[in-house]
Amino acid sequence: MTASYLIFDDGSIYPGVSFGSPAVTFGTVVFTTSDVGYQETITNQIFHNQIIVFSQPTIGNTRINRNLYEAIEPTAKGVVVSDVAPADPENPETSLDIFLQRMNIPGITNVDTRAVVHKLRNAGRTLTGSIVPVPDAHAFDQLHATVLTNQQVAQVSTPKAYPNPDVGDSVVVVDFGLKNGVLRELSRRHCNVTVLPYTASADDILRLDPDGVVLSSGPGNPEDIKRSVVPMIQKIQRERPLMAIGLGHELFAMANGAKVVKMPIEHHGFNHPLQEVITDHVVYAAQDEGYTIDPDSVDRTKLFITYQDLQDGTVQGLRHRQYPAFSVQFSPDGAPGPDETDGLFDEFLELLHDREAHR
Amino acid sequence: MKAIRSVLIIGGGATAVQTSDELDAVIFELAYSLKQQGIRVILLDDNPFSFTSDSPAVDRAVVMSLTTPNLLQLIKEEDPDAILPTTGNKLSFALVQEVMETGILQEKGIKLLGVPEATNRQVNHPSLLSSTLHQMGAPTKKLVTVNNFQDAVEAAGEIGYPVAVAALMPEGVSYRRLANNRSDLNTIVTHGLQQSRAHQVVISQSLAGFKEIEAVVMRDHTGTTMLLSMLEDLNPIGIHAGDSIVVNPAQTMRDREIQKMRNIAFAIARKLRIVGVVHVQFAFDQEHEQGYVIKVSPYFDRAVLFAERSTGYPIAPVCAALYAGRSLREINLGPNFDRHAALEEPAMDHVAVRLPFFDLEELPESDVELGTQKRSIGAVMGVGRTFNAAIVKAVEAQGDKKNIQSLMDLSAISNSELAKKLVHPHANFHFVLLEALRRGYSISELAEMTKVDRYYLARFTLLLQTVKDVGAETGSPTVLHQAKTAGLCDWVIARLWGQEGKDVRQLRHAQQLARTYKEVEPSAGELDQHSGLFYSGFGVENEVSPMDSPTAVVVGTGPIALGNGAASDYCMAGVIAALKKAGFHTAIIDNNPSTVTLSPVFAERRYIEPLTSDGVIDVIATEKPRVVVVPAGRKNLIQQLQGLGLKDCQLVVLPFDTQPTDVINDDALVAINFIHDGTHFYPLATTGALRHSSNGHFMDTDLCSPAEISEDDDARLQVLGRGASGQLTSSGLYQLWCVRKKGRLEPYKLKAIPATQLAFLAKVLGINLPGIALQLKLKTFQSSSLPHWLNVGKAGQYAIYHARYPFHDLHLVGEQATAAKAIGGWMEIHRH
Repeated sequence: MTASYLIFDDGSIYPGVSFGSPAVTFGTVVFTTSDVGYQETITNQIFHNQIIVFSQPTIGNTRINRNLYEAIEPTAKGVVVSDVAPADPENPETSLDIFLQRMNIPGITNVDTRAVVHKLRNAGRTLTGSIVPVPDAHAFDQLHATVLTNQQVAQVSTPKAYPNPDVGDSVVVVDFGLKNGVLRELSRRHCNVTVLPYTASADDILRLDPDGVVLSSGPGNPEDIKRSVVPMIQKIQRERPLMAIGLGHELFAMANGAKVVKMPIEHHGFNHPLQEVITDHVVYAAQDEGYTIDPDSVDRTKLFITYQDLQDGTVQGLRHRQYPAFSVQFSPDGAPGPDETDGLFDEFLELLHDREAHR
Repeated sequence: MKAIRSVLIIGGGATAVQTSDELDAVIFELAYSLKQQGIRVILLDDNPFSFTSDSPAVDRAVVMSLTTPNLLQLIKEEDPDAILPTTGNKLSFALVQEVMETGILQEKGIKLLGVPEATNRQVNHPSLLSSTLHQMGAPTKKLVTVNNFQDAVEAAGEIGYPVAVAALMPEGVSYRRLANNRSDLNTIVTHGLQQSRAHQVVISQSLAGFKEIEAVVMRDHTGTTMLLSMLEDLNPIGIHAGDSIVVNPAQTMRDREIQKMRNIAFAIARKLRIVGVVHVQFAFDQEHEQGYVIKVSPYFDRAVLFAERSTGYPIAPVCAALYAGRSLREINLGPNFDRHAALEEPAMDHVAVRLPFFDLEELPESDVELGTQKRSIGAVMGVGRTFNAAIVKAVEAQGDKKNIQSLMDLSAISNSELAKKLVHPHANFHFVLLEALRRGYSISELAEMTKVDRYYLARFTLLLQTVKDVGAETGSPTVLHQAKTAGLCDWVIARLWGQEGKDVRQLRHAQQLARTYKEVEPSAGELDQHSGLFYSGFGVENEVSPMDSPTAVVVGTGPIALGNGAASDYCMAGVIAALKKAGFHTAIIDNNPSTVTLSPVFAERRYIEPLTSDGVIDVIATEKPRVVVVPAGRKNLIQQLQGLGLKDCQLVVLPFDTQPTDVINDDALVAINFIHDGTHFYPLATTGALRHSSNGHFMDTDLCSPAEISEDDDARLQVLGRGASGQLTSSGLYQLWCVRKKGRLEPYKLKAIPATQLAFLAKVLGINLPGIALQLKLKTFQSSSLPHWLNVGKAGQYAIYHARYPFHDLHLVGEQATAAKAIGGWMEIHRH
């Protein structure tokens, strides 16, 4: 048992025990209240440059499974938890501890995570932190000197296009930090998928003549990449059915004139009630959001709000009035989280088929 | 929709093995919430230990048997707008069915709450329910009925071995048998066909050994459905869920497995048009990622209440609002919760373990192999930051030193017996697992033999290591921290070190290793919400600070045990009510997930903790109370508290958990019950013992009140009572039993009124007798608070009481019916 500390840029220190990689990393600290699916969470690229605090009591219980990756190489900067499952003595290789070591991600356990969640909840701003072996002045100096990159999407998006062939509709997925869940949902519906890097222009996409386009979720501030992406979206939405998720949703909103604001506290979890405005139904879905659409900035002549979070009032979904295009802030592919909204992929395919029928 | 102005609630009835003590707490919370919404609440219940029937939460409580005629009579008298069948187990569904068939509900336009009529019918007819499940495509156990061996082979091949075979309409008693292969099948089917009067056998898929997972789901009339908890049973299918160790949240399930079962449970809630809560049990085949629905319970049961206590989500109050016609969206849980807290699925940042409680002390014969029939009497729960801390605390909560000792050592058991008990689990199976690991069984071996998930076995291995580490370093601050984090109480650590509990406490103080308290709150810290429910740990942040003075801390009575049953809880609830009335801020420490005393309406602070001395002392140190109430049975705790010399704090010891002893005689027995406040005698009521049906003696386990005696006898009883009272040195509630000798009543036995009878008498008299017991100790008792008619007895009323025993449910024959072996009671109050 090696002592380890979670330190924050405001000078606070939380003691714990080291696991995973011994590396020292820096990142913004966020908490998730999701209570299952730690492997999917850790491997979600949305946590790029972030240290994830799990409020769930124990993680690592079901080890690492070959079919539960959301990305092959996770880019989170750390894992903070109250308790990590003991390694199965007969299967030590599949433990979370070994996995994090291999991925060079430090972890800290035996932390009073409820205290940390309270701290993050009450901070009113994004806190930066680090997992360090000694919480001395040097560690804090390094933490204060750290400048986190704003080129996050560039670091997680695929550098090259790649196909995921099948026999159904042709779909282009633009990768801003793609979750495997989206590919899983499209595969389940036999879509013939091509994944393109986030730098893909509208022409790059249209050259592939897809039936529809999906904009994936991803990490960071949409402002940092809007210059090239917004014109692409403005053109694509006129040409092809479009479905946008997470960061893709934020960019879709911006492309249609809405403003994106940073949330004082990032929200990660899947227990908030989400209202489907048109039916008035309440659904639950995986939410990972640090930015949100300013509802007052939504041009109601172009867009209408399809989903909203009843707990914090945030916009959770938009639909274009003119084009077959819609977006959601949450992850309809779950992984982890409820799959009550996975029907949105079917809706997307219906848009494709409508277009086909009317051509 | 027409607003509901009055609701008739069907009560839970006497405590039994199958339906333990959970329903009164539920009814209490529901009734209280309904009343808050301005709805008139009528309750029919025959449980003498129901706190609800005495409480102002109900407008009218009728203490009569749960029968169709009584229910019909009450409907006629009260003409309620609605009737609620979800708080009385399956029995109330059967009652409602019979009432429905009379047509009175339609005639009077009485609404059924919680479930529609069709679902009510399905609860009563399992075959209807299974065909509904089948129709909707919910995965259920595959079964095929065949009449010859060739078809049986085909069916078994399709289902996959092993298969269970049962004779249809057998002659005499017939059991289901497992066939592992074709040759087994041959013998079993041939035999089964011979046994069957229809010459048919049912071949079904065997689910034995799969994981048991329990979903607790809430739905409102608009169709909004949410998951409240996904519970995991440590024991596999084959052992009744009520006898299994249950963990919330599920620890060994992957996200997509959870989502699969969630979807099925939601579909069922929709299909059955549930408004309120439904508990769906699954057998989960992890190898094939397939869950089978094995049971659907659209009513309150132990799992629902455990979910409420372990998440801090107020299930019963929310259901009350749903029953009153509101949607989840419209429910506002008040200033302590977020605006839409009712709609937020609970997220947990702690682990809760429910451990069944078997009263082997009173009924050693009940220690048999666990199976599909429930055998535990009650339960305890432990809450901690890890599974280990939670289960260790649950073991400590059982309050039995022998059990706590078993955490460290079970060496008395022989190797062969150990092996036998691994394959054929008995009560307290976790100790057998620990011992097996201690003796070198590998996790794979154990997982194969017991079907317990490897994760828990790795956890137990870690627990053994902790115990070993602690034992190896006496007095070490490092291992002390490790031990406390693992949930071990000072007593265990002291045992391992060969010291006294107080030595360990001293070391803790020296090391400034202080307990901190965390709130059991359904948002896992995301929102600023407060349930008032706490558990202890050793984290850095403490969420509790003393309440405004004056404060009282009440130590609860733990799991229900044979003897007093839920009567102890009933009495403690009365004490808390009296403390609140006297202006105290109250805190309770208890660990029975079913106890009414943990309901949010009672104490402001509720600590789910084992009642170990060090745990209780730490709560007292935190709350700084003026009064501490402790049940008399906690002798060690009382001794320690006296030793501490609490400043400005009065220690009140009340005998509500004292094991009852029988008053038994061949001749008729009558008693005068009275209050003795140190100087005066205040008669309460007379009781008569009834002749016991099994042994023919007069016993105080069966009572009537008033006693059926002449006016002269009554006057004589009063004189004898006053005389006995004069001899008493300490204040309290007493009874003087008398028998007739040479035609005159003479004193037979003077004793404190046992908890069971206090509950009975409190109902008969309509006064809070446990509260008076407290006032006598606090010296705040005022005779003027007693109703004036006490001297003459409540006119025109006759009440009877019978103790209830668990023998039939536990298949025990030849047991003596004694007060100490009663599990509950039944009573009726007749008014003429």
